[in-house]
Amino acid sequence: MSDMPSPVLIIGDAKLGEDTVTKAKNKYKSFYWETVSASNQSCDEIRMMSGFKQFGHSKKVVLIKDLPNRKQTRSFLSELVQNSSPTLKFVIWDSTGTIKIDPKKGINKTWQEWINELKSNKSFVLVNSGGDFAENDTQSSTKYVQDLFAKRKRTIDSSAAKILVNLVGKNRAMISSEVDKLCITSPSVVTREFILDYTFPTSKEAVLYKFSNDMDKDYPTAVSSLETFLSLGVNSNVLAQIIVTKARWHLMICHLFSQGMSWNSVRNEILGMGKFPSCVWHNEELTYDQKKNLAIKLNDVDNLKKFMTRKLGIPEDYLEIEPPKTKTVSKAVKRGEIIPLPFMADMMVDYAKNIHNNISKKYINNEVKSKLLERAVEVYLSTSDNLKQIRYSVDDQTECLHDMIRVWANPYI
Amino acid sequence: MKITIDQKALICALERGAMSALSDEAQRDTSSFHRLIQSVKITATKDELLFESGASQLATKWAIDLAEESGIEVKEEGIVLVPAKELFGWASKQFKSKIALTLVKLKVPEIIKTGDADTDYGSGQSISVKKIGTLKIVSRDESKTGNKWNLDCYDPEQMNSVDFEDAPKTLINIPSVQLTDALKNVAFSSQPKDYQHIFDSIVLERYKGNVYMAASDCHRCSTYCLDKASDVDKKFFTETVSTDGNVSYGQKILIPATFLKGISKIARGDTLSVAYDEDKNKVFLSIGDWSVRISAVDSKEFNKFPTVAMLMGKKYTALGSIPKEILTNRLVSASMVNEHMVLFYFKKSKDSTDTVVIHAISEDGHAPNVSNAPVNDLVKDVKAIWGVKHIMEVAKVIKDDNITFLIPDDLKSVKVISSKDKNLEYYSMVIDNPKYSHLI
Repeated sequence: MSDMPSPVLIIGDAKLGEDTVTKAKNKYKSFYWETVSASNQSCDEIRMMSGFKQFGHSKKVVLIKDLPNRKQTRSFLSELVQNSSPTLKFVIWDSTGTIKIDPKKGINKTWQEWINELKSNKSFVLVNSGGDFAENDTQSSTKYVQDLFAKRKRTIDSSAAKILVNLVGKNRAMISSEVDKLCITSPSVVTREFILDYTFPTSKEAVLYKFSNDMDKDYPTAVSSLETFLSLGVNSNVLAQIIVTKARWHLMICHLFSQGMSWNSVRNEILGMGKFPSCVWHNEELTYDQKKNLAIKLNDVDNLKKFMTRKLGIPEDYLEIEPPKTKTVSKAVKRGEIIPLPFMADMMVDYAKNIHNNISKKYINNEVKSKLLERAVEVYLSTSDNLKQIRYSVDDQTECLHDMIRVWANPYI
Repeated sequence: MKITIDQKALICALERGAMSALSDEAQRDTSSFHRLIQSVKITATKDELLFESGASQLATKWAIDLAEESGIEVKEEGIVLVPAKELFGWASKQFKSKIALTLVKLKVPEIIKTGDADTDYGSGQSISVKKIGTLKIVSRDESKTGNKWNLDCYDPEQMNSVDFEDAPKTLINIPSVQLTDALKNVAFSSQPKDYQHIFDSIVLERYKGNVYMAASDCHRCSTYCLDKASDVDKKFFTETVSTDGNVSYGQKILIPATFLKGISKIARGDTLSVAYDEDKNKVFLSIGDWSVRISAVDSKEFNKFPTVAMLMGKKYTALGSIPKEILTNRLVSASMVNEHMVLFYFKKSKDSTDTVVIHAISEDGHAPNVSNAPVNDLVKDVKAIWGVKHIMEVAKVIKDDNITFLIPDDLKSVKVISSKDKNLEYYSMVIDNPKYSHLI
C-alpha cells in the first residue's frame, strides 16, 4: 500500500466527496480515523484531537469536515496540517460546499489563495470533484458522462450522453450514481434507446424526454408512462402541455410533408424553427452544421453586431444593442418554441412516417398526404380542447389526459 | 384477556418488559413494522403475567409469577399486543390506582396498511398489521373513580417472541451492586455514540484470573475489577498472552453501554447473569425474572477495543498525588482558557513543597492562564499535556481526597488509581501539541 498523502483537500460535489472519503477509509484502514468538525469544534479541540495518541493504533488520520468560511479557521488549518507525519495525516473535506466552484470562473480568490498555501506541503493532494454543471453547459457535462462510461469500459456517443444529462440533471453526483446503476445492465455500446428506456428521470426536463419517447411507442406504453408520471406527482397541466406541443410539431411536420418536402428536409426544417437568429436558421444555402456553428457565434453581441452591419448591410447607427440589465428584462424576452435536441426531431419525423405508412395501407396514393394532414389537424384540435378542459374546468383531468393519449396513438381518426 | 393490576406493578412491568418498544431505536422506527416494534405483548395466564417487546438491537421479557406477586388478578386469560408508549404514558398518570385491562375483540379483524408510497417503494415492501380489537383500560383510585381509555390491539401472532429458554449457558454472574458500582466508575469513559459500536460499548475481559469491566473512547480507558463476580467460564474468557512479541488476544464481550446502564438502573435482583451467543452475536442478560437480549458488535471487531491486559500489564511508577479540591479548582480556571488540554509541569522543589504548574494556552484568542497546585510525594520532574476533561471526569468519580498519578517510562500515558476503591483504574493518553513546545 502506498504511503498516504497529507494533507488532502476534498472539494466539490458533496456526494462524490463522501465517496472519496469512504474509499480512503477503506484503503487506509490501518489508520485510526478521527473525525472533527471545523464549524462546530474550536481550534483548541481540533488541535487536541489531532494531538491525542490512541490505544491500539500507532497511526491516525484526522478528517476535518464542515469547513466554515472563516479566516481564522483557514489560517489555523493551514498551520495544523504542517504537522503531517508518517503517523499523523490530515484530510480536509469541504462537506458543506463552502468552497463554491463556479463552472466558468473556478474557485474564488480567497479560497484559491488558501489552497495555494496548502500546496506548499510536499505531499498535498487536491481532490476536486467539481461543482454542478452550468445550465447552459452541455459540452463538459456530456464529456463527463462519456468519461464515466469509459471508466467502466463502455462507450456512449455524445447525443446519448446529452440525453442522459437532460434526463438526470446537471448534478455530478446524480449523473455518477445513474451511470453506476445503468452500467449494471448496459451493453458495451450504450445507445440512445437504452438511455431513454432505463434512465430514471430526475431533472425538471426529464418528463418531456421520457414521456415524449413513451408516447411514440404504442398506446399501452403511453398510458402506463402517463400513469407513472401522475403517480410521481407531475402536474396534469405539464403532461397535457407536452402532448399538445407534440401534436403541434406533428401538425407542422405533416404540413411540410404534404407540401412536397422530403422527410429529411422536414427534419432539418423543424430543427431550424424558432431558433435565433432566424436569418441563419432559415437560410436554405447553409447546411445544418454551418447553421449551428454560425448561431453559436452570433450569440455573442459583438459578433451579432458585426454580422448585421457587414453581412446584412444594416447601418451601424440603426442598431442599439444593449445587454439586458435585470433578470426581469431577460425573462420578458420570449423566444420561439424550439426542438431542443436533434434526436427529438428524428423521433417526431419517425412517428409521422409511421402514421403515414399506416394511412397508406387504407387510402390510395394521392389521398394519403391530405389524410395525414387531416389527421394531424384533428389530433391537434382535440388535444388542445382537452388541454383547455384540464386548465379551466373541474372535470376529471386524468380522463382528459387518457383521451389525449387515445387520440394521439390512434393512426386513423 | 381481562386483568387487574396495581399501577406501580404495571409501570414496573412495562419499564422492563416493554423496554425495547420504549427505546429510542424503536420509537424512531419508520419502517412498515413500526407499529409492531413499538408495541408490548402482554400474555396473561392463571400462573404468570408476561410482558415482552423486541427489535433487532434489544429484546426484553419480564415475567411476573402470580403466586408471588399480590395485587394482580387474571380474570380471563389471553394475549394482547398494544402500543407501549401510549400504555406506559397513560398508566404513569394513574397514581395509586388499580388498572383493569380488558380486550374487546372485533368480529372481523381490521387490516391497517402501514407505510405509504413515499417510503415503501412498491407494494412488496409494505405490510399489513391486523387489528384484532381494542384494549379497554380503566383506572380506579381510592375514591372509586378514575379514567377510561382505549388502545388498538394488534394481532399478537404478528410479533415473534424471543425464546429466552434457548439462551446459551451463563459465562459470568455479576452481583447487581457491583455492576452498578462498576458502571458508575467506568461508563463515563465511553463515547456517547460510535457508529461502529466499539467505543460506546462496555467490555468484559479476564486478566490475571479476574474479570474486568472497561470503557474507552480510544484516548482513555477506565477499568473496574469485578472481584465479586462468580461462575466465570474460564474456557470462554481466555486471557491475552504475549510471548516473544506475539500477542494472542483473549476472549472479550462488548455490550452497548446505553442498554447496560438502563438495565442496571432498574434491575431488581441479586445477580446479573451474562451469556453470549457467538454465532448470532447476541448477549443474553438475566436478572431475576427479567430477560434481555442485546445485539453485540461483531466478534471480529472486538479487538478494536483496547485490550485491558495490555493496559494493565504496562509498568507504571508513582508520580505523586494532588489534593482533589485544589486540582479541580485549578482545572476549572484553566479551562476558561482551554477547556480541552493543558500542560502539567510537575516540579520538585528543594526548599518548599513540590508543585505542579498548569499552563493553558489557547488558539481561540484567550491569553494564557497559569495555575499551580501542591503535589504530595512527587517523585520526579515531569512535563506532559493531558486532557482537561479526562482528568476532571476521573476526579469526579474517585472518592479519595487526593488524585494519585502514575506514569510509564515513555510518558505516553497517565494512570490514575484510587486508594478507596482498589478495583478502579484509569488510563489516559498524552497529547502532542507543538504550541506548548516552548514550555517543554
